[in-house]
Amino acid sequence: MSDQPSLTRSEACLSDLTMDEYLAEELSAPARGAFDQHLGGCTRCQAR
Amino acid sequence: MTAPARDFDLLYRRHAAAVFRRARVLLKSEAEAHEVVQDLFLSLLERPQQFQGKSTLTTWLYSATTHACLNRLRNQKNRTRLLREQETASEADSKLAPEALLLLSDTLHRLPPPLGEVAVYAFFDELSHEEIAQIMGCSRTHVTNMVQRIATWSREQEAS
Repeated sequence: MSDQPSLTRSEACLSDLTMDEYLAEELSAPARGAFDQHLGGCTRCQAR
Repeated sequence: MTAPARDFDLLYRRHAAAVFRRARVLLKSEAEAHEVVQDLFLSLLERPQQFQGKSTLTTWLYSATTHACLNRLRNQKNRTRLLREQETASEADSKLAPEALLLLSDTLHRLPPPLGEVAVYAFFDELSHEEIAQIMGCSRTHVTNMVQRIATWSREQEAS
């Protein structure tokens, strides 16, 4: 993950906090599913 | 290693890197970020009841790290260092948006504490009001009100 904050994050994109929760395996199953779905289709979040 | 020590070791391994990343971004100093990590986890080891389980541990640490960094940014020595770094960096070199630099260098320490925290979440992290409300344990309306107060405060500062 980039050290820089996501300064032009769109509403739909994942926040750094959500990414940290994902990495810590703290997201609920639905939230994890939404995370995976977004990440699969968003090159900007994939690059972070 | 005892069971509680093992638990804490696991917790540290799982979360310390995220705390460090966030502190380094906010403070722009690896040394200070390491200190924040040490202080925060030592505090959590000594007083685990601080985390009441009302949110995920990651969310709690995110907020606690923000508080710790804001306190350090209010320290005169840090403000001086950040201002100096901002002056020496050309606009092209800067990786942060102007409003983020402003927040980190000069304005932030003058905002009353709850507004300073909201300013970091809203303008630096670009979190939605809903996400900020979740972190701070308050309503979305309250967050919106605080963002409006920051805007009003900024206009007043510019006018004075």
